Amino acid sequence: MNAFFLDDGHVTDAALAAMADDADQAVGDEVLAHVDGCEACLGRLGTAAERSIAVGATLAVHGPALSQETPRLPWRWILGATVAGAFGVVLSLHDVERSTFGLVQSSTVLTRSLPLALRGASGETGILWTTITVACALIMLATSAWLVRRTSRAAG
Amino acid sequence: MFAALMSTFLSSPEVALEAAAAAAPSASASSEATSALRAELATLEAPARRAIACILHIPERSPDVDDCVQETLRRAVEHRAEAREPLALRGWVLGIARHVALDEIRARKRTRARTEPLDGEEVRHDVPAAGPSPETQVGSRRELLQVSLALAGLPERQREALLLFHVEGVEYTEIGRRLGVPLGTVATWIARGRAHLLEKLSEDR
Repeated sequence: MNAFFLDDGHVTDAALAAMADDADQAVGDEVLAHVDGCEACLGRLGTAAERSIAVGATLAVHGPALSQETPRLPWRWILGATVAGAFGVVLSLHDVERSTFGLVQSSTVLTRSLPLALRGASGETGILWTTITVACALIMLATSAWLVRRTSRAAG
Repeated sequence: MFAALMSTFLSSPEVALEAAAAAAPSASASSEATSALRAELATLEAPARRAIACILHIPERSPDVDDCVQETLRRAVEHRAEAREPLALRGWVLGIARHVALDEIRARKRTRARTEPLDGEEVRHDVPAAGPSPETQVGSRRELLQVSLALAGLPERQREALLLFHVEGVEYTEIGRRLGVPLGTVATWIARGRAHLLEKLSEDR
């Protein structure tokens, strides 16, 4: 039995879609003969043609945008990043107390240096003082980083 | 002679067939063939009319159906040499009628698209149009999003088949060749994709 026939003897929507799209060769003579003699299927064929035109008009309007690949989430990259992140979390668990202490200490240093840097950046005191302030801020940041590393080593 | 036959046929198929018979240079054989064709077409006019009316969803006795029947008979006469065998004449003429009716549906849609304003857009004849209104642009972007989401819900190859047909205008045979599947599968994918798209778009509206 032709796959384009339903159990009730009429033809499928796929067959009618192909006929509506002028692709008669896709369905075969048996289907064509049935449709030409069946008022129900002829009526459905008209509906199929209207649906085809409606979809064609919709897709044609958005054709340029749709011809680009449909945006999809980069699932492989997300999975890889999740695995790498989980690996890092597991490795840091044995050292969690020391890491927390270092983070708090460096936060304090950063908090103190931020107002100085902002004041210098505002340019109220001229280019020389701005440069000095930024340089001092950088020195303080470097110092804080050094302190954190030293404390971690001492605790270890 | 053929042009004269066609112009006459547009006004009346029977007159045109008689004219063809009268103008045929070789007497009896051509005349007999034309008479036979005329008799055949006369018997096929009613089923062709019924088929066209069914496809167009309009009564059999309406001007559009009359026009389509005329066009069907005109094409049948013009391409009568392509009929594979006399016994298949009925199917061949009904096939022409089917194509004529489908062409009529497409022509109607084209005419409507040219003459009707877009949804929600008011036609102003006193002010020259300066491009689509902000509302139209927003609506268009919303529809693009809806269409993109609906397409994203389709299996990749179904989506590809649908876009190849509707956006790039590739025929079924070529789609089957490109995707490496039989024509029946192409038809099924396109029909399913189309149904899915229409369903999703109607849900969102």
